[in-house]
Amino acid sequence: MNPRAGVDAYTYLIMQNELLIELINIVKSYDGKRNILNGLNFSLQRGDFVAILGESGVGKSTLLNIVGLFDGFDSGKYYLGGFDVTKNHDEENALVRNRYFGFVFQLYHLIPNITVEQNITMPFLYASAVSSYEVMRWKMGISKKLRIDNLLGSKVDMLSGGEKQRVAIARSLLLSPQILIADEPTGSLDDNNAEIVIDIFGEYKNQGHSIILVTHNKQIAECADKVYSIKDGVLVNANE
Amino acid sequence: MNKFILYINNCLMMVLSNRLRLKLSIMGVIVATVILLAGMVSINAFVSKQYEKYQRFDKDVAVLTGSINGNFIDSLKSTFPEAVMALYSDQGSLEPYSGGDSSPYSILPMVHGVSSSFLSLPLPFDTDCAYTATIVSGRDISQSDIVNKRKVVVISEFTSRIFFGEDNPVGKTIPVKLLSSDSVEEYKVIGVYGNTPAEREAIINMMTNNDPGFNVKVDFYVPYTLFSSSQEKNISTVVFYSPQNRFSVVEKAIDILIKPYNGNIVLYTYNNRIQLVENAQQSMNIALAFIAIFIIVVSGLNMLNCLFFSIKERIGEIGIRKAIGATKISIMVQFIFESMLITMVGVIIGIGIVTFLFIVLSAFSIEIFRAQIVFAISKEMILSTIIVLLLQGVLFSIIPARYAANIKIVNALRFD
Repeated sequence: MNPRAGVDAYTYLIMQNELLIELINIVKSYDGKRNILNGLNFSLQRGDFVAILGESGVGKSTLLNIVGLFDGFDSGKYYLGGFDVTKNHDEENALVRNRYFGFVFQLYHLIPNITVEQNITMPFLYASAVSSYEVMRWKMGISKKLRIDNLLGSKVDMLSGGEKQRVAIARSLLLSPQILIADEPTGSLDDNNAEIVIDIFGEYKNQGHSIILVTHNKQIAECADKVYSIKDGVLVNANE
Repeated sequence: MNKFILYINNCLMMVLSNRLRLKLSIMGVIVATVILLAGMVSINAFVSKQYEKYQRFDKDVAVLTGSINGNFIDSLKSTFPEAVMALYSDQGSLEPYSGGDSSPYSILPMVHGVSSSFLSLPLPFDTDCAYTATIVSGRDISQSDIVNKRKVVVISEFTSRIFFGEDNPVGKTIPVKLLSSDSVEEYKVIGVYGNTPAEREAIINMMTNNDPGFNVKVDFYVPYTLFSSSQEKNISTVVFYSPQNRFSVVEKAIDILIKPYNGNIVLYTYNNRIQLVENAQQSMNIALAFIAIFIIVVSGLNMLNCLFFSIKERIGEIGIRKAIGATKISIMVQFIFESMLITMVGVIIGIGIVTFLFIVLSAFSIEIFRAQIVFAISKEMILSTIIVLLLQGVLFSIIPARYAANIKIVNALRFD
């Protein structure tokens, strides 16, 4: 299958479908003995802000890796915009990650030695059918909104933790992805910076985008519309 | 900002971020460039010099040297009745003319078309077959002069200055004494050729120092048919001229005639001299190709090794790139492109070093090699060096780049 054709199909389906993500009966183990995810079901509607709570090692990151197409799973079904991605090629997954997902990590995962601007525009390098003009416009808009427009020429190594996280968020939002996946985005930040990050997420959600947030911080999780936790490898409502 | 410029800028930053890899890889490429290019330039300079040397070897002349007896000469005469032959005995046929004990110069006549040796015998394997410089005044010795045994001479600028000072020597005469005769004969100057820079330097030194004890060889070229031996005994050299336009047939026929002499007679012609140069060039090219392959492999392995280490250090970065949408191919292309950038920088530095080296060598070639050698770097040499080394950069980057492309995102992000 032509990877580009796959992306075109997703574009069409995601535009049509209100149900963006549907995971059915997902089983995942690392050693083949103990299932870290054991028949997990999950769905994400357009405009949803979902938080997943849980202690370390329960499978939160594993779930995000599967949702973000970083990793495969042993059994189950994964529909993205109603499209089965279980048998996708790596190249197709890469293109989907580029256009439909934005990722924010606890440890920022910025590329050192290059500038803030180069980090932010990195997704553009791998994007097709996106105009340079649009990207530059988005970049300036996001940078101003995240108050990092004065840092664009700086090297990433010189930034504080909060600044790094805002740069990482700017990078994740550059191509205006449908789904933002954030893995402990406030884990390394002080309260003030954490609040800024959550405000940005809220604003992004209000623009009609969907967010999946993984955190062990209940206060942060309360900002989401739905809060889940993982128990025995399945997703349960955290309020139950 | 254009995506391509952004991509190049990104690759450049990544290359510059790993200074050790950059330095080690570039050093390997520089060494490979210098060896490759220097090899090509040196072979070219050597071959050009050899070609230049043989360019004035008369194309219709065959020179035979060795133990030549009367029977062989008879067979030559009967096979080629139309040929002009000049026979030279061991005793020599020319003698220097000396103006007396007080004269600072000895004049050594040389046989035009086959030798500039100061020996009286025409030795085609000598360093120069004849003067290689261009005629600056008058004319060259013609086939008619050779066939008709005209007493004409072509001299160098230096010789002209000695005999005639600032005057134009063309049309004037110079005395020459033959070995077989007590009398001195007058030879008409028909042309003057330019001296080499080394010779010019010697002239200037001599003129400024006005050293009376300074003994300098003067150049004095005459038609080779003039000084043929009168008797067919102890003949060591035959200069053979076939004026008809069928020299290649004559050359083959002579080759057959000398076969029974089992190598005791050696044939020298323009064609076989040029063939010799071509064979030498071919052998040197083959040797250079082997050296080049070895150097390219070593330099390539160095690049491969450096790239592997670099990838190991950049696993986190690879994970980030893949997470934000880099495909396997784009990761491979990035590392291959980085290697190409490094190779280009190394090649450019290498070309600079070789150019500088050969400019210096060309300038001091007379002092170093005792000959005027021009080390010329052609566009083709530069282009072929760039292509070969870029190809090396690409080929030896494929394995590490594939390794990088196949790194799993989950493992890579954990590494970061």
